[in-house]
Amino acid sequence: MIALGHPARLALQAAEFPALYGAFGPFAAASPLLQLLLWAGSGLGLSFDSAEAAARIGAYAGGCAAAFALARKPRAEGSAAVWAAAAYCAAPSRLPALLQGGALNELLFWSLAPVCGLACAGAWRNPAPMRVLAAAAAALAWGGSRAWTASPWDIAALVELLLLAGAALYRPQRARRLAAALFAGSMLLLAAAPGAPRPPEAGNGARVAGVDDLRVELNPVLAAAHEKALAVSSDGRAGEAILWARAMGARALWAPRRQRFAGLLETAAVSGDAALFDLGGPVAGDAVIVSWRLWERLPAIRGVYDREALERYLAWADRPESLRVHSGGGRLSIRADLAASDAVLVRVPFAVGWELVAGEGRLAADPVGYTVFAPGADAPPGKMRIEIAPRRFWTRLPEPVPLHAGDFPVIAPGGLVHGVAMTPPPFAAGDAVSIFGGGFLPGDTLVRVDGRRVETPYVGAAQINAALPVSLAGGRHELTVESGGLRSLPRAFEARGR
Amino acid sequence: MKRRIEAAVAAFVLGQAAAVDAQPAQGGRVGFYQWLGVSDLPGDLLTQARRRTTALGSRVFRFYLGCRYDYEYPVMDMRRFGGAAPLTPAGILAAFERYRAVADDPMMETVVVTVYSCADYGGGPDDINLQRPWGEREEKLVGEQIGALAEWLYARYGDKRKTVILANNETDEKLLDIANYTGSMELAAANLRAWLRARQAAVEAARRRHPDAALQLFHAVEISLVNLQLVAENGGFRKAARPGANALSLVVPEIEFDLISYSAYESANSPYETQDPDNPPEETGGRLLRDLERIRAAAGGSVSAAGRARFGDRFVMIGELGYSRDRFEHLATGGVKPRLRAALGAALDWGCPYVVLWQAFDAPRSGGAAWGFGLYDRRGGTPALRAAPGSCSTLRDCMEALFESGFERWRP
Repeated sequence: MIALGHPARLALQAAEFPALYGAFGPFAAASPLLQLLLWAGSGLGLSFDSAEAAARIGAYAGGCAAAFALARKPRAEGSAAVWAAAAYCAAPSRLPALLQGGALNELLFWSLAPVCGLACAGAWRNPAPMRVLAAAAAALAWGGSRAWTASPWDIAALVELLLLAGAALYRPQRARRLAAALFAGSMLLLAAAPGAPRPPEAGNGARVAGVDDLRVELNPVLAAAHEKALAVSSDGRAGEAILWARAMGARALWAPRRQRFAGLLETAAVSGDAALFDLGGPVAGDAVIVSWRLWERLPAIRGVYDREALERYLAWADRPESLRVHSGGGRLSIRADLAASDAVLVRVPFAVGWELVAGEGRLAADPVGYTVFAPGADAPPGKMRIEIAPRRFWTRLPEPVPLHAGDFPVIAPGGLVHGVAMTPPPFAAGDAVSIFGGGFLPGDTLVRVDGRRVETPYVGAAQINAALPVSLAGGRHELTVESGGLRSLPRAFEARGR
Repeated sequence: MKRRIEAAVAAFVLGQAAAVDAQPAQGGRVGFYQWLGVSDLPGDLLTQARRRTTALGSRVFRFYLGCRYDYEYPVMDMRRFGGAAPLTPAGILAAFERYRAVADDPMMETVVVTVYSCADYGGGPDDINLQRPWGEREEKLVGEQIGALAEWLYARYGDKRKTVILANNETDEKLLDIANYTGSMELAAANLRAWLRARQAAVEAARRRHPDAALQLFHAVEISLVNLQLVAENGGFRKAARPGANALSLVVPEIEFDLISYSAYESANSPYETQDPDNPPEETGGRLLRDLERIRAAAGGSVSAAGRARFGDRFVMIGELGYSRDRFEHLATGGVKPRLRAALGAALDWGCPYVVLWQAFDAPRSGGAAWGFGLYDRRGGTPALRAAPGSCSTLRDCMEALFESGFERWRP
């Protein structure tokens, strides 16, 4: 069964998020050239496991046959049969998605490959119908250029199209056949994609986080973190891997070794030693209403094992109040009924370089690199339309942020208490306090209050006794623990004035 | 008050031994909840759970009626309810047979409906959002939808001798959620008071319109914290065993309702002071009884006339009770069975009108969260519990035995 997985799922993913992968992303991800590279060293198998897949395969095969027919018999270009074949090529590929509520732009994207193929085929003789098709291809390409992100997918697609164009000029007859072959291969491989194990929600726009998906799903800022997060799952830290997948808004987790998550998550599908796990909880929408207040207080995620920050992120982001996102022309449009305390988390990488086209507010990145829309202070609560679009020509992607791979010290909730009475704050200057938590390294731990180091008469793996400064003024202070060079998130406490 | 509670606890503990096997069949008071669950069996989860509940001999069932989840697709899946919109609780009952079938079931005497009004904030039909300041729109929405639901119930079951209880889910959890979301415990409490008042008003208005109906319709307010409080810490709120606030102190005294539904994990699963589940099972009943008395003392002044007339001073039902197999079965002090035995016995002896067990089918595994509460696993199997030879050894067998002959077969 499938090892088909990677490129086909990439292609599907690229189709779901055309603005992220560029207009040519699906075509590129599915192209045989790219797949040959990606599949080097990996097994290859196809599986067709549903009537829907069979129907799609039939449609694609028909489209491919029509493309071959055009390539072999260009004289038929003016006939009604040619037009029917062209329509057949263009329509069925995404018709099911369209009928199920898919966006029109998906139909256009998936029509791009056959239209390009036909345009190349017609370039040699250049009859009027082929000029129309070429113009259509150009229009689609222009539309796609608005989503150009210089991603590897876009680059690969461009190279492939340039090859086609070059071949069309130099050896038109071969160009037709090359176009048809590329197109046919792409379509067949895409048609096989439903054969891959997937959660029941896969047709619903739900994300599937798998080894390869993780690398492309997230923006480059956190690409390194994802690779480490995946390593987390293979070194026994399944809990953190699940947190990472949820932070991505994934609905399911694809694991090459299913034992890793057995007993922690429900199994959705099994393939050999691999399995797809349902992450549970509400379906993470492409956009969700979140707390503006909490967003402003979210700590940065500093490492792959920064469990406390990840959990705080999830407490903020993993909410059920989802919103529908409509995509078209590379833009994302959201209609929301917001209150004054609300912001909107849009699960697209901020690093793509979005700009706000409609809506009063600003865009910013959240701690995993997704995009947050914060309504302006003057924006009245109520119904509003938010529309964002990638910046037009070129986006400079940020450098990956290095993340620590160690365990951060954590102060447990309620873990800062008076050292004798074991009561919570407020404390007085000079009080002994006990700090309970984890990740404390005896011999390599220090405690700071407002940045100043304090005495620590005892340091254990889960408890530290410390003395507050005798000069501590009344008011709010922050205490942190540093162990092995890593610092805990600050814990605020009140001090009574003397 | 403390002395009275202690006396009641002592009386209960002394009387419990005598009452152990004297329980009558309890199918009319003990039932099952089904919310999120997993099942590989054909058909929808709600129908499977309902049928298996009545097949055991229970006549009480609780389910969720709102717009987030339809018992077919995951929560907030775009395909829920076949994409129908707009939706209301009454509309769901009218349109979907699996929901109607619960109260239609002639075996079902009492239906507890965890109901939420529906609104669309941009993601399709959703539960009402209580994070935003309460206003006329919310008042109207809740009044209309709960009123319409009550009317629908009277129209369909008005001549049936059934009881329907409209409840919410754990006010304390909502209080915590809103307070953390907005930063204001005051706003959270005010919203929840206004929301629960609107629901009670809608139910009371419907009752007044149908004074002669055989159907008994009530509104329950569910709480989950008795001793634990919500305390401010580090810019947010969390549960702790130290002075703070909870729904029992902030919301319940300020509103009226027909009965309290107590989600009893705080009492039944571990001492709130230590949160350590590995404690002697025989102490479970005493803790639950103590907390039922505390709830009764704190909430007594808020019970409606209709609630008093039906439930007297036993106006506290157990809305959720359960033990996860993965947390309790391996404990040295005892597994699921003796704890459930103690908690059920205490609740029934105290006079809780209903006890709802969480839940018919296992909920999905979710990382490190407690798992394995179900009567049935996803394949419809009945997971084994630690038991002595000759005594019931699965939750299903134990509950069936309870409904037939009391606790006799529950002996360890």
